Amino acid sequence: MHQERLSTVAQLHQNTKHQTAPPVPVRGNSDCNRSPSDTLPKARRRVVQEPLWVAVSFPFLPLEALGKTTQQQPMAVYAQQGQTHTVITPNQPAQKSGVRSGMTLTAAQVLSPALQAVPQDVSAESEWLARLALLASRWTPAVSIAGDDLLLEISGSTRLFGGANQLLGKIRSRLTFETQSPCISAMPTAASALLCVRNGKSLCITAKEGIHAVIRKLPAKAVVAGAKQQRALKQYGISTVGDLLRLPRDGLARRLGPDLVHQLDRLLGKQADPQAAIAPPPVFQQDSAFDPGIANTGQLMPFMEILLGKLKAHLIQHHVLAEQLEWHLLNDSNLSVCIPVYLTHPRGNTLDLMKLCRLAFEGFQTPDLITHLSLRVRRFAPLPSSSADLFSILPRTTDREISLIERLQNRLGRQAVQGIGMQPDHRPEKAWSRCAVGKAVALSHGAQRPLWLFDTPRSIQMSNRQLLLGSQSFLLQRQRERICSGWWDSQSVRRDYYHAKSGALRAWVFRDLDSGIWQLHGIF
Amino acid sequence: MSLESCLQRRDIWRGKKAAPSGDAVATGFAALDQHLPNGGWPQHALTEILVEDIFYSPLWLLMPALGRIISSRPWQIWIAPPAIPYPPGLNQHGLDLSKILLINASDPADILWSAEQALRSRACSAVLCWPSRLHQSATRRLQLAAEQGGGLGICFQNESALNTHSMAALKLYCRNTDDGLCIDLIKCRGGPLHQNLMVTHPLSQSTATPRQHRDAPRKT
Repeated sequence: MHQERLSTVAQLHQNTKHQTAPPVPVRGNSDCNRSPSDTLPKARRRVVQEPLWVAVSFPFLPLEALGKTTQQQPMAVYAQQGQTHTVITPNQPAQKSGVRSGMTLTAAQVLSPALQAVPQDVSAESEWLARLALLASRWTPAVSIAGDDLLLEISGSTRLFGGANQLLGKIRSRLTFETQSPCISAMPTAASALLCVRNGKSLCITAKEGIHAVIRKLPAKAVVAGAKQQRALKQYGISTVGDLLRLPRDGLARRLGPDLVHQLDRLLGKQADPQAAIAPPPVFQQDSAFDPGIANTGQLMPFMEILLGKLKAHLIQHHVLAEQLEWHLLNDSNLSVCIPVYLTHPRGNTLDLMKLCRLAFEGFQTPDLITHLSLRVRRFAPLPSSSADLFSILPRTTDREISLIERLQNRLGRQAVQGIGMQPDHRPEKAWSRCAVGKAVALSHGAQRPLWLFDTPRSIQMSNRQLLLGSQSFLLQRQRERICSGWWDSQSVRRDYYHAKSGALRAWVFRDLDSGIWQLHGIF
Repeated sequence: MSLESCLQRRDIWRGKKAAPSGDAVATGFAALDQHLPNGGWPQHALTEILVEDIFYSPLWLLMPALGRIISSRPWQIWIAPPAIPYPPGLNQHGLDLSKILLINASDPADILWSAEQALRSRACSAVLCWPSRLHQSATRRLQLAAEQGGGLGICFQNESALNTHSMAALKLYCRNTDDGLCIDLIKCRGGPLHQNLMVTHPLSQSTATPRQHRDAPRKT
């Protein structure tokens, strides 16, 4: 290790003969104590950004999942394998008295008689790991869980955090706050990063050429899965990954299986190794319960603000926006009420959301005490990838218009605010329809149509050749059109439409051809 | 004290000269344009139109102005109209249907709230509303909202509101007569109150003299 010279990424590019690129450490306790300060700025100059994978392993995960991190007495988590109980993770006091993972529980109890043994809880471990993965999604959206370790692809966010080193420092300090001595490695391939942390190495390598030098010293059994193959390795006299890499590929594939060769390719980045990023949970739900109950909706507002704050944290963490909110209220007679909050476009701003929620709650009255309030969001939209314009300090007009519609819809209900459009039908009452806001369709129409249409036509008396509606008399004008249509849907219409005049009033009247009744249908 | 120095006093107002106070959009009817202070419906202001029967609100009186301003802002809002504003008819008058928003509200408080929100928002070129009854304080709120938002605020009311006090910038009373629509200015900020302005329906101008109703079908 001491003979290896420190070389920068740029040198590696120029000097391909320089096979032994050194591992660049981030932590002092790793096997190579050199500063990485001169490697990374040059790595950033590359035009095409190479992926950079950060793997994090948690050596005390089984203990942390059970919440047993601060005990001073020796303790160990064990798992039952057949008849024997095997120690999985001893804590530090237990390690001091010689307890190691892989021992049988009885052997550990001989070494440390005061040892407290706790059974492993796999579901708690996966929950704890999911929580840590959520925590890690603040640095990059590409977080995946690989076994008991986390994998983060950080090449997209290094610039945001001021370089890979700064970001690694942030990740380290935050995770050390949450867990006990996490092992963190940054490597150009996911498989090599995982291999390093599983062997307790904390490194930061940014160039693919550096991988070989790091992994060649690692034990070969770390990349070989089956017990049978591990025995075979022992027989062949292969102890390190470097030995495996020196062997001819076809022979290796024949003897130990093709999977091993693929695994080695993935380690060196010769084969693609996509990782599935964790998806945000499809539903956000947060509750708050009130013990005496709340009678006034005004008193709910502070609790709504708290829940919206939690929603905002969720939205930021998952890089999404909310599309529709639902408030569920439960009163003391166990009656549930749902108050939806309509958004015309996805939003993430708590202040805006709170304003709209206030409007949605305005019309809500309840005689009962509210005991339970919950906020549910089922629909999310991805955060727009374009950044806001630096120079648009004033809100754009589109934001204003949309928020007017949102305000109206939330106070009056979605059905109360609609657009009006035209339908291709000759029957006047079917030639229009309500439609979604701003989605109206206009069709060209030949004959003159009125500005007002009555939902139900008003019947007119015909007496002495004059049309009378109340005290108003209409003077019939020239015939306009005959509309006969709709025989296909049993709402058939056979009418003669006329213009009629009463002073300045222009009316649209018709005579039903079947019944002969005169009716007023519209006003011009 | 001479007459000139008297006229220069700020508290002396000469009634005949209409003081220009803001934008207006031409009504499209010569008789009205001539007698309204800025030559049209006042923008940034509330206009009250009183009619004999709310079901026969003379929409045609507003059509030229609404068509002129509809493209200036995203929406034109109609709040609680008494009948269906018929889209084919509106389209024939050149209104862009995709900009028209219909609000169905029966509660008077909701109607006034929506009208105020819409007028204040600066997103509406015009807000037409049909509140059943308008208190003086409500007219003040709507007038202030219209001043802030800058749209055309139109309120249709029954003739029972003839003698109520109003803070609207313009208040008209329309009566239906045999010669056409007779308009009295009840209140007009910055201009004299004219009476009996005659406006005829655009359809009666275009059509020839009405035929006898002998043209009507013989069978009744």
